[in-house]
Amino acid sequence: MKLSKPQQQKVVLGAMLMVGVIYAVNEFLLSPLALERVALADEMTSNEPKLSEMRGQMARTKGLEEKAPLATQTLSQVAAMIPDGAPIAWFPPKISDFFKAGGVEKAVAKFGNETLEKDLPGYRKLSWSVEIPSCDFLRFATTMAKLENAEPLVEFTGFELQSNREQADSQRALLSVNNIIKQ
Amino acid sequence: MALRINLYHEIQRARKEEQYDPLKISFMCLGFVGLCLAGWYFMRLSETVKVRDEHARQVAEIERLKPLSAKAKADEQQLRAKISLAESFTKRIEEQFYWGPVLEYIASVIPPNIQVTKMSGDSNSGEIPRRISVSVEGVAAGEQPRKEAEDVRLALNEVLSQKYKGVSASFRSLDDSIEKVHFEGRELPTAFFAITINFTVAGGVQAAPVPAVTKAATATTAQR
Repeated sequence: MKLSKPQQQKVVLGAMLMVGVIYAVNEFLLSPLALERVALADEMTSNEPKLSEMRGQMARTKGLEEKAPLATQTLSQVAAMIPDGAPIAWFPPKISDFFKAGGVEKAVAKFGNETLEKDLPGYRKLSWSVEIPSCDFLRFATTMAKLENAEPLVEFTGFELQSNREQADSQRALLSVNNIIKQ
Repeated sequence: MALRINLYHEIQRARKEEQYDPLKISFMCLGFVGLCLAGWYFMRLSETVKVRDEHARQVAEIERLKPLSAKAKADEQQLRAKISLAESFTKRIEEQFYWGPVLEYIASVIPPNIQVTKMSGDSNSGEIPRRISVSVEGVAAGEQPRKEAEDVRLALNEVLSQKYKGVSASFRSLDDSIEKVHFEGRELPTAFFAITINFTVAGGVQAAPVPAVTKAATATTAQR
């Protein structure tokens, strides 16, 4: 089968047209799409750590929020144990009343010093000395134990108990007490 | 064998030439390639649209999370501070040393023939584990007052060892006295003693039980 000249020209024209169409489709349609896809994929890849960090941040905070009620409850209990006002005004009467309720007639608390607590921001530690001129050992020890249990923010760091020379059945006591209060 | 003559060969040839016309075939090929290209383009376009949608979703997610994340970050600091503070309080209270049990144990081993004249304690060493020191001074009365004092020392060591670690009870002094005391109708020699007790507390000690009434309640009032 032999092609006539016009037929040959048309076939060549058709082939050129095909090449042109393939080029145009690739250059003006497919390439921009491919470039756009690559650019978007790159941006998405670079956004992924940012997104993960944000999600991680929210998850961390959510985890902490679940623990927070317990912490809030603890801090509320602590706050409830610290009366308002100057400690010098309420701590000595509190100690005196507590010992009096335990059968120890007189207990005098005197302020010693004040220190900041590193692990308790917003709070400070006050040191007191409590003098009990005369007491019975059992009442003293019972009241001290009750006070230790009733007031978790009050800590006895030392004590001295000595027999009274005048009264063999009574002792003189000196206590070192620390107390946590708000700043 | 009979001969067959095809009188239509020219017509058939013309039909065949028309059927296999190269121009027609080339245009058909061109159309086919065009269709393939269009299909390919739409396929890639569809993929690109998917990527665009995914990107748009991601950007929208970032925009949505940005303020929430910033708020979460601010909240995290506050929550951490609050939880840390609560944990510090809990740890402090759990590690607090209670003198109640110590006084109860000491009182439980002091017999009536021993008079404790002075007792002191210190838990403010600042070390971890906490070192506690207790000093007990008194007068022991008995046929062998030194032995009575030694029994008290051993009893203190034993009873405190059941509760605390590293207990050591040792005499700081033990001296015979020239004084004698009347105890249970007898006149007994006495000895002055001073015992130092040391032990460590790791923390988490249970709350102080209220001391029970024991014979030690009378110990300090034991009469000479």
